Amino acid sequence: MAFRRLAGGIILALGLNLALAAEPPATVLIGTPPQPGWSQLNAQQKNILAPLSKDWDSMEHIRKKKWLGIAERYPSMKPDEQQRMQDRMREWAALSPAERSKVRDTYKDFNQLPSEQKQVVKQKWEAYSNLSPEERQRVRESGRSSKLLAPNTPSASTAPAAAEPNSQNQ
Amino acid sequence: MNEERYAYRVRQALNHGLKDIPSATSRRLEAARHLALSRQKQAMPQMALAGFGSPSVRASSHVPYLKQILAIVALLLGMWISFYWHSVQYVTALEEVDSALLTDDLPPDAFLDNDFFEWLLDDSPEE
Repeated sequence: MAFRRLAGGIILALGLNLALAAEPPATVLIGTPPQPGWSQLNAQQKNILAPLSKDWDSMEHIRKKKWLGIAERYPSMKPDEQQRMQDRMREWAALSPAERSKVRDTYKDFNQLPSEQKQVVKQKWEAYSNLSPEERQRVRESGRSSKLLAPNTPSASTAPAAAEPNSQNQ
Repeated sequence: MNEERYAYRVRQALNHGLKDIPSATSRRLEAARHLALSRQKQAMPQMALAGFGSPSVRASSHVPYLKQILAIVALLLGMWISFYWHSVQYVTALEEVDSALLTDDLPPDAFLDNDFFEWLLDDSPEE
C-alpha cells in the first residue's frame, strides 16, 4: 500500500517537475533578506561548507540561508552522516533546481515507506549501482527488480527463467 | 395637499420678506453664517484627532498626506513581515529535507535515476 503511494508520488513528480521547475514562490524571494558572502562567514561555517566555497557568492539568498541552517545542524549529526553530507554537498549544489526538486519529492515519498521496504529499496540500489550501465539496462529488461537481491545477482540477471522463482521468494 | 400648500405659502412669505431685509441686517446675517461655517470646519479635525489625545498628532494637518503615507508604510511593513515569515517556513522545510536526504544511506543519485525507480514500481503489484 505504501509502495502505491510512492508510485503515485514518483509519477506525479515525474510529470510535474519539468513544468513547475521548483521555483520558490515570489513571496519567499521577497521575504528572504540578503545573506552573508563567503568572506563574512565564521571559521566553523567555512569549514563545514567548504565544498561550496566557489559557488557561494553566486548563490541565491534562499539557498545560502538553507545551507547556513544545515551548517547549524551539522555538529549534531553522527560522524557517518557528516561524512556523507561532505561527500554529496558539491554534487547536490551542482544539480539543476528541477532535479533537486524532483529528488526531494521522491525522497519525501520514499521516507513514508515502512522501514523494511526502505531497507529493500536500499539493498536493491546497492546491487544495482554496482552494475555497469549496460548491465543495468540488461537487468532491467530481463525481469523484476527483486532478483537484484538474489545471491549471485549479475549472472542471474542474464537468465530470466532463473529469476522468476527468486522473485516469488521475496 | 394642505401641507404642501402651507409650505408653499411659507416659502413665498419668506422670499417676499427677503426684499424687506435691510442691508445692515443682511450683512450681519452673512457674517454670522461665515462664523458658523468657520467653527464647523475647525470642529471636524479636532474630532478626528480626539482619539489620539496627543498634541503632536496635530502636526499631521501641517504635513500633507502624512496619515496616508503612514498607512502605506504600515501596510508594506506588514506585507514584508508576512513574506519574511513565509520565507522562514519555506527555508526551514528545505533545510529539513536536504539535510535528511544528503545524510541518508540511500544517495540522491538513486532518486535521480528514473529507470531504477520505474523498474521498482513495475514490481510493486507483486509485493
